[in-house]
Amino acid sequence: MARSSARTLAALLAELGITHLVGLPDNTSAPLFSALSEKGESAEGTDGPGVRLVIVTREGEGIALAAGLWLGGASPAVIIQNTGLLESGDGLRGTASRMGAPLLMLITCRGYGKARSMGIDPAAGFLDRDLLVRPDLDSVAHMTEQTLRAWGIPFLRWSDPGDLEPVRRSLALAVAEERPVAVLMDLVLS
Amino acid sequence: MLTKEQLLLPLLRHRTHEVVITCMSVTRPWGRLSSHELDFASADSAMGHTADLALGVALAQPRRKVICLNGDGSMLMTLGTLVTAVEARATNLILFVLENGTYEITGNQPIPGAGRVDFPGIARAAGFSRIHALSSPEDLEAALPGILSGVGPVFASVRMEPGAEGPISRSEREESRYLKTSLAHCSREFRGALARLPAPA
Repeated sequence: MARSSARTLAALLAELGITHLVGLPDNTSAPLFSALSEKGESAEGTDGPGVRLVIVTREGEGIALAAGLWLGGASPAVIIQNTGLLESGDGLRGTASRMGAPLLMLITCRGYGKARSMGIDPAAGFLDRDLLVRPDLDSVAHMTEQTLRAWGIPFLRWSDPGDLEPVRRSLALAVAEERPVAVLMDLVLS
Repeated sequence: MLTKEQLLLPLLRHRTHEVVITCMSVTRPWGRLSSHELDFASADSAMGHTADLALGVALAQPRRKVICLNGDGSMLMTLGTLVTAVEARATNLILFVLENGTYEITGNQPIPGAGRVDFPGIARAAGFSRIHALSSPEDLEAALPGILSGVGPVFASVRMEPGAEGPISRSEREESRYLKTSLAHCSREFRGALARLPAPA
């Protein structure tokens, strides 16, 4: 039986040397949390200690906790929804970014599918009032990439669960440039 | 109530291999007393996140005790961290909350619930089982050896006298070693020290 995309991602994180995955689940990331929990906090199919899952109560808390993990010599990654990314602004700015921590941030993309289904690119456009109040769109989708740019966080979009290259490249960039880098998970994990 | 010196001098005497992470109004006073390589100032704002940062270090360094000197205003910002620390089984985390009832470095405005919020009670409700409520130098002297030993996480609230520390900066003008360079530079130095200094057996 083919391995699920969540288990493949869990195995990749372990292969990349990620020691802890810190975050909060949403509907997109839930399969990854399940994959990591099933194996007693270890990623399937890997040698070594695996990836420890640390579930937090708020996203900014998670970013700062991950920064502390890095400060302590571990290699954490973060997984949060784009709504939580907005919540975590000062935690990210004042810890991981200011510390120069090579933090891989997996950001699930609420609202992207809805925008695309209406022929709207979430990355484009001016955030005028009409866009922000439209009930048929999710405003967070239209703020995500503009916010990351404003905060100086490089990012890659990841839309094909079968192609893990954006995750590898993002971590490599984070390490090379000693800064947090985001992967925008515009996809559905199985 | 304790002055900062009455808290920090005994802590300095008892401290051996532990990490000490400071924030806000205790940052300078600790930095004047200690220049240990495992001191870390959580100072570049991100107010409220010092306990999160310390929890992360504790989880990364399970064989080493991590002491966090947090403020009461800062603690109120991230009460959820108390739950996370218990859930994550951070048995090496020692979390002090210095209760002066004010936002000291902005001029001692009262924090919400000053004198009324029961921090030890909140910690207990979050699942901490080792809790200390200290209100005098004698309390501290008696409790400190126990606080620094055994299995945590440990929560210790300390009733503090009002102080008058001003805003924290990072610059050569600062007296404390750990405030003289950038947060990025200090982070790399600290990681290097952790890698170099053996953790207690």
